[in-house]
Amino acid sequence: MTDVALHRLGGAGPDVLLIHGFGADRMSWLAVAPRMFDTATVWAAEFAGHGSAGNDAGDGTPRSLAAAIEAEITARLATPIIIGHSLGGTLALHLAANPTVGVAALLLLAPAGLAAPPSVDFLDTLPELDDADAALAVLRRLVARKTLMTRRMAEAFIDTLRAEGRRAALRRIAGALASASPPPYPPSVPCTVLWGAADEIATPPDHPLPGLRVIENTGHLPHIEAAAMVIDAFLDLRGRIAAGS
Amino acid sequence: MATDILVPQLGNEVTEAEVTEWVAAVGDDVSAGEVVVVISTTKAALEIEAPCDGSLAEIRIGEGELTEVGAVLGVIE
Repeated sequence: MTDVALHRLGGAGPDVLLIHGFGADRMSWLAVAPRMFDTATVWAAEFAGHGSAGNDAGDGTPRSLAAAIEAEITARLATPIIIGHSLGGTLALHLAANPTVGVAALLLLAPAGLAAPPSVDFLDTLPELDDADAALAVLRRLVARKTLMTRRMAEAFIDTLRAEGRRAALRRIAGALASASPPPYPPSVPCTVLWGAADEIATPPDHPLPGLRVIENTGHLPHIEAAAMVIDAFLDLRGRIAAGS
Repeated sequence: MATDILVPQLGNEVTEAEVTEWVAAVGDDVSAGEVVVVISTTKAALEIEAPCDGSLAEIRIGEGELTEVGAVLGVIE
């Protein structure tokens, strides 16, 4: 089983599980997680090579990363809504396809592999970064409004790469993601997909997709650049679940 | 009437943030829900919206300064 970490971020109410994207961690949910604390118990999973998780990524495939999360949340979370970003969205789809997990609904933010393959250049470059200038340039590809990424963030990201085994874990996951089969879609549970129209990392689908909403002036991070829309979509899903649809 | 623009709750693990950018300038008219200031941690940015209609009367925490959860970033009148 690959390494994984599960954190209870706060709040009280039905369980919500957040799963970050490639290169991110639980702190990437800063703009949305606290806004759910009034109505939900908010958890964040960190998969191998990210955040406080260890660096054993196994074969690095989305299926393996999802299996590790499944083992961690079983018996701790009850019928969670899962919000997954990019690779985290792919993992959320794998979890929803497994009836033993009991996923209530999905909110997917630019899920990897559902449209065009994610940028191979981005996946290959991220683990190799070794200076803040280059890191800042890469981070700015993630957003439409470039000033949202700062040099402090770039320096902090370089620091995370210095941990022994971290770059190798990221390379393993990147390689597996680049060649992964599309995730199981559509899921059998209520699902909304939000995608930035200006996403440079995983361009929005050019074909109809059930539950898809494309957001203008937003890049690959809707939970940063369109946080209010993410919260609205979450509340809408909650309402649909309550209504039994 | 003056209304403070506050640094919101950022979760159990985050107590401070840096003011990255003031999108509005002192004297600008702003509308409720309009992004007026951006703060960030070392991991993520957060766009903070005006809590009401009015004019940005005061900026208390400038760009590049660190601030804490609950602090007053600026004032709308």
